[in-house]
Amino acid sequence: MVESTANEKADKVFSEVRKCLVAALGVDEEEVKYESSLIRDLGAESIDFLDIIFRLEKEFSIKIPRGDLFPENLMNNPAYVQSGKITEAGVAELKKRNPYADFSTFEKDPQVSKLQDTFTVKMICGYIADKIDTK
Amino acid sequence: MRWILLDRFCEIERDKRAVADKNISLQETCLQDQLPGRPIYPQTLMLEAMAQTGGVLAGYSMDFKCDLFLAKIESVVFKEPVWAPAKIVYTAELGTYNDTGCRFQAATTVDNKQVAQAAYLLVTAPADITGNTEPIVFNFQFFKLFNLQKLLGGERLSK
Repeated sequence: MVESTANEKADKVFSEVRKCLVAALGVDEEEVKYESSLIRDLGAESIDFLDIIFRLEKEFSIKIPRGDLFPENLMNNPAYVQSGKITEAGVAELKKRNPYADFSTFEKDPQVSKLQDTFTVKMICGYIADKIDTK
Repeated sequence: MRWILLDRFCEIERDKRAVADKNISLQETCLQDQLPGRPIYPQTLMLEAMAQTGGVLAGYSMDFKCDLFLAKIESVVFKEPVWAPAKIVYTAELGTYNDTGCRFQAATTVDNKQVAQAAYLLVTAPADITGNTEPIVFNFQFFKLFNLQKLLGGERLSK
């Protein structure tokens, strides 16, 4: 019973997140999968992240502080980025700042250019679910 | 100030709405070569004017701390052509905003009839990113042009 309620909640969050992404990115509903990467699969650009945040805030009546969902100011820190790759310290910082993203694949080849693949629909759903719980 | 497409601001209420207008005559240069013999005001200029109306509203709501730039036109509908001469009224209503940008809805009306509506996303650009020490959009000349000095704090009025 408890599990069923949790699943219902997750489905509802996913459905609302998908609605926001469809509106912000101009993609079809069927294209938005739980595992979809915002940039690689859904064609998001950096400017779309702000649009997505505004839509999520409105849809879920929450406030998303700057850098909370999409971490900022990491790339210009030499302790976190060296020779085009995220350092161990950088990956640790990313995990700390964004516990909702899955870094298991990224960690094997932590190139900066591949970091965007960790921004997924699943990541957003996890963040929103927690945010709603603590509201 | 060639690309300022508004004559004046009639109303501006922080965090809520702004109304601006523009009188277009048959002498407007944009009417001379767009559709010769058919003085229809270009839709693209109305789109820009709505953005300017909402941009000033957003800037005011953010205390004009940084410049704002058009990032996205989320939707736009043009319902009817606007024939010159006409008085065009632009209304903008602010949605969500934070220190990175804002969303707003805007409408264009002529003779109380809505002829266009659009939704926008603007992003902020702090001076340290643009490389300018002075605002390039919300500068003193800009406020003077629209007689909006009263919206500024005392410090910037003295410049």
